[in-house]
Amino acid sequence: MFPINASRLDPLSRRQLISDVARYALGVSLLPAGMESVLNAAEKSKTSSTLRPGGKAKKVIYLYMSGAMSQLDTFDPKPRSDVQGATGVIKTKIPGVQLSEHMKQLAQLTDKLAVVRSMTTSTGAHGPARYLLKTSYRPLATTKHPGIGSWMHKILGRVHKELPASVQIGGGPGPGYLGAEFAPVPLGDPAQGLQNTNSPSYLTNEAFDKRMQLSNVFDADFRKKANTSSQVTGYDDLYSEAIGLLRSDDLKAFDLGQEPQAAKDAYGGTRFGNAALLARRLIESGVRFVEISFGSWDHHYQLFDNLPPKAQELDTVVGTLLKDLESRGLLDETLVVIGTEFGRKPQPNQNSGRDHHPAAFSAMLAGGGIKGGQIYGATDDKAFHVEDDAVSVEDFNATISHAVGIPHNKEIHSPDGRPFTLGNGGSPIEKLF
Amino acid sequence: MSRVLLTLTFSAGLLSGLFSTETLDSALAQKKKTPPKPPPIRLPTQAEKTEVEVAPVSPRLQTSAIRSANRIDELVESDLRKHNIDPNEPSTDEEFLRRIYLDTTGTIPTADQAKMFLRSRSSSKRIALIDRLLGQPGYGSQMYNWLADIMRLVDRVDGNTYLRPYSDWVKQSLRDNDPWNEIVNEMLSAEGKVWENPAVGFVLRDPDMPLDNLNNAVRMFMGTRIGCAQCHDHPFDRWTQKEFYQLAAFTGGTEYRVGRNEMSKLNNGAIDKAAPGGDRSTEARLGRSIIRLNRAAIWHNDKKQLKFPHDYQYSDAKPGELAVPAFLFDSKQTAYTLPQRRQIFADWVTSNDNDRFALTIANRLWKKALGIGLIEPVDDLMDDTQASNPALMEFLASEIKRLNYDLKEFQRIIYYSKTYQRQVTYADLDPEKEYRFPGPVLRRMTAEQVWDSLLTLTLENPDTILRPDDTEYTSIIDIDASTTAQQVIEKAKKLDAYNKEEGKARSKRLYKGQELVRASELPQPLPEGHFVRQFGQSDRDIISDSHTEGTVPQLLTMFNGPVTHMMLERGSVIYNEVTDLKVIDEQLDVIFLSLLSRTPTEREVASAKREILKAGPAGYGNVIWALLNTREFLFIQ
Repeated sequence: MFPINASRLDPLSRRQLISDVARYALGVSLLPAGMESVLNAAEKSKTSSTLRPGGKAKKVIYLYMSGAMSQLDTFDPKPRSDVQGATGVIKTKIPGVQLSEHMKQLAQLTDKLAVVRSMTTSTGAHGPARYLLKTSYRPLATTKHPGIGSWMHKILGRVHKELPASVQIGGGPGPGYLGAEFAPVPLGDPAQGLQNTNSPSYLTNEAFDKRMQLSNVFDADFRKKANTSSQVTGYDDLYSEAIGLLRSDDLKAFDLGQEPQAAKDAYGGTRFGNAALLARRLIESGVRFVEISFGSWDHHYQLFDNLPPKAQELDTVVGTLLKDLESRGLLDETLVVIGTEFGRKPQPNQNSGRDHHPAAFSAMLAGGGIKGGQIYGATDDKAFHVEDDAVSVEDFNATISHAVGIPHNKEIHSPDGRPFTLGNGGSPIEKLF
Repeated sequence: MSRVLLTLTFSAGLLSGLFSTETLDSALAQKKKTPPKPPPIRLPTQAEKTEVEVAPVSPRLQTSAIRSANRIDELVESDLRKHNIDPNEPSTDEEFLRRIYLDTTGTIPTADQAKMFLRSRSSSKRIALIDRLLGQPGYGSQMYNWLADIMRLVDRVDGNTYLRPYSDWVKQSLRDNDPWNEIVNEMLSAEGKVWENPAVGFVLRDPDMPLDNLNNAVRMFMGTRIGCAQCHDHPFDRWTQKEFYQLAAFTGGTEYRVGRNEMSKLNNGAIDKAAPGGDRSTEARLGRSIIRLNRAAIWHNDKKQLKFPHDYQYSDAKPGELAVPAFLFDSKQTAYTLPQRRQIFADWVTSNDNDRFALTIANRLWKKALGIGLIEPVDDLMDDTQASNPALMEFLASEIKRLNYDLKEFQRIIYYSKTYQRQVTYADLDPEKEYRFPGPVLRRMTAEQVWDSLLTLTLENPDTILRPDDTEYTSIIDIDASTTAQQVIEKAKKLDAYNKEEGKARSKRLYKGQELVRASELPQPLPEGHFVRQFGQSDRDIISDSHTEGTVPQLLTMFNGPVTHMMLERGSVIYNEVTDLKVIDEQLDVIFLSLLSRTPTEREVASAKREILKAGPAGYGNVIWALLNTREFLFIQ
């Protein structure tokens, strides 16, 4: 729905042409789109015969824990170590597996979860680590990389023609080299819905139509002169889309007012809870990718006072979301992800906080064809180093890529001809499928 | 509907003015007897005003500018003849007027400005207008927006790197019309903290990323992409990774933090201890940030040299070996000394002998005026790159050198040309064919032009409302090695007070939460949801990343956003101009001149009158709203 651009309608640019010729010369033939997936499938079965097919996840709800969530106090507690501090543990449905005491609902849902305890990343600075987590690439001063939502939009397209392919609640990566057409639609306050869709009360549809008619009269001469400009004529479609959206029932997808109070209560009524409820509405209505930022988890100070309410809120919201999705039959086609940019140093600092720690942290996946009831990977007895099955941020994103049906080695090219993959060379975690 | 009837309606019913209610929109609301309204919203007309000076063009150079413009036209016309293409018709005065205002001052003209030009019978009125506009404050703002997109100008890179002085310095250099080669040379060679020597901001923009910064510099100033060669030999161009490293060796001594002797030895612990309120107090937090902000600086370390990377894969150098400085395109060994390396590099980039430097800026400015470059893309030159009109490209490159990189004089020449002053080409360009410039191409306004134009409809003389100068801020935060923790805490307190004052001053510039100053005076870049970003301003992370594509959220903003309704408030420029008049035809003239820089056609007058007769005062709001939502408003003919 969203943008138009005459220049993007151009056939291959010179550079694209050259790069394609280069690919050709390097032995990668130019196949029709349909053939390409066949090729990818063949490649896949050749390279990793044990990787089961993905692609069950049609949609994704990505919950980003901003500020770096502590692994010890959420998904990877070490009750017998001296670094655990005041955070207790609880049993889960998986025998012998414990989560932090704050994860009460999730502990009862572990049969649906794949908890990854062996995440590791290469930087301990928030900005670059966040960028890496969300794009699989390090920030460069010369190229901007798209996030997962824009990737899905580009490769898989929209589910619903009136609704955006991807929505961000509280920020996220832009479309990068894919351009404005693939930009996620940003929402600020989930309770407010989509920006600027509330017309002034006096402006009835009838009054609005009058204004548009007047506008068409004033614009008639110009439009006639410019009827060979696709950028100008493209506005016709945009206007009808925008007006259509304003009046369509689809806009209700953005309206939390449509939800019963009981649902809002179950999600906790917080901003994050509202965002998750809105995400469910959007997914249900045909948005592919919803990203929610929840933070801050940057607990350098008084972690044992400040983290518990945060973790409990996370538990309530994700627990409710998973049950809600399941009861609506959406969990199989919706991948729910909890990601964070890095972990926290196990040894508490002098302010009873935990500092940055890129070497080991946790993440979670559920639904969308992910095999639940799993704890993947392990850290040492202090959750300091990864001991088994290290998962890089690139591997993690390659896993998401596989789950949504984008082959992890599927390449797209930036306008300057450079090739990129969603997971930047990472490998999907086979055991999760 | 006679004029008499309309006049009667107004004088009888609305003696206090046309829009006796708070806004044109709410007039309709009142008519429908909706519940009482919240307190009236006022436009921020009380903001502090500052005069801005911009270097004027020299009347003396007018003749030579005309001569050069004629030469451009000869070269374009002979090229058109060669390809059997007719040039477009000359633009109408209305088209020219709107275009030249937007191109030189970044905004549409006011109704008064439009009337003045359209009524003039002088045969040299176009030239006179060009000369006048190039000396207006809007020129600095407009040039800044253009360059900010290319150069990725930001107020801060991150919490530790403050860059606003650099951004302001670029703006001031453009107002003063400093020569481009001098601006660039300074940016590439400056040393110090950003508030001592703002030009260092160019390198500080990419802290600890000298290779990326070099790559950006070469792309911006020399129109050449060597970035691929940062990691491997360039796949489509001639550059090898070795050449990249040899060029980067010139800047291999760059340091990003103040030297050991000037650096404050204070750490977070010392500040926390000195803060009476403890480590979580405001003064501790601000004190710690003062320490961090004072670490950023650029200087050249004679001893530091660049090495080839540990994974260097070619046989022409060894991993870890020192890279010897050498210029691109230069087979000879380059003369250099370690202390002078960086200056030598800056001199090489900006030298008259560096053809790509002159060509790149000339082509970028041509594109800015005509909508498309003689070479596209403008920053991907290769050895075999051919301009669509090589003779013209050569002439323009020689002109910018002849003018000693005077950007304003160069643009004056382009604006003088018949080529610029022809009607635009409306149709999509055939990507298979070179564009031969029968006229400029149709463009949508940039995000900044849309914003600034809406501001022109709303506030008197918005060029005089500037964001406050930051010298007080930088003098508060500046510390050196001898500053004690106690002094830092004192500074932190001052900073806190300063921030609060700033917040108050800013609130005087707000309308429904939007700060009403020109786009060039708003924070750089704006946050994601802001109107200007929505309309395509770049987030300034990478070069030339703005766009002019239409999107649905933009239209929703046009329909329902505060920014597109501010000119309907009492006291706006257009509100005042319309209410000052009593005759509806004159009012409609003003409305059309304000928004589209032309008077209405008969058919338009009839429709507008019908609307106003029916809806009363709210009808004016509807007419204005309808005009804002035309493509004619958004596009530059």
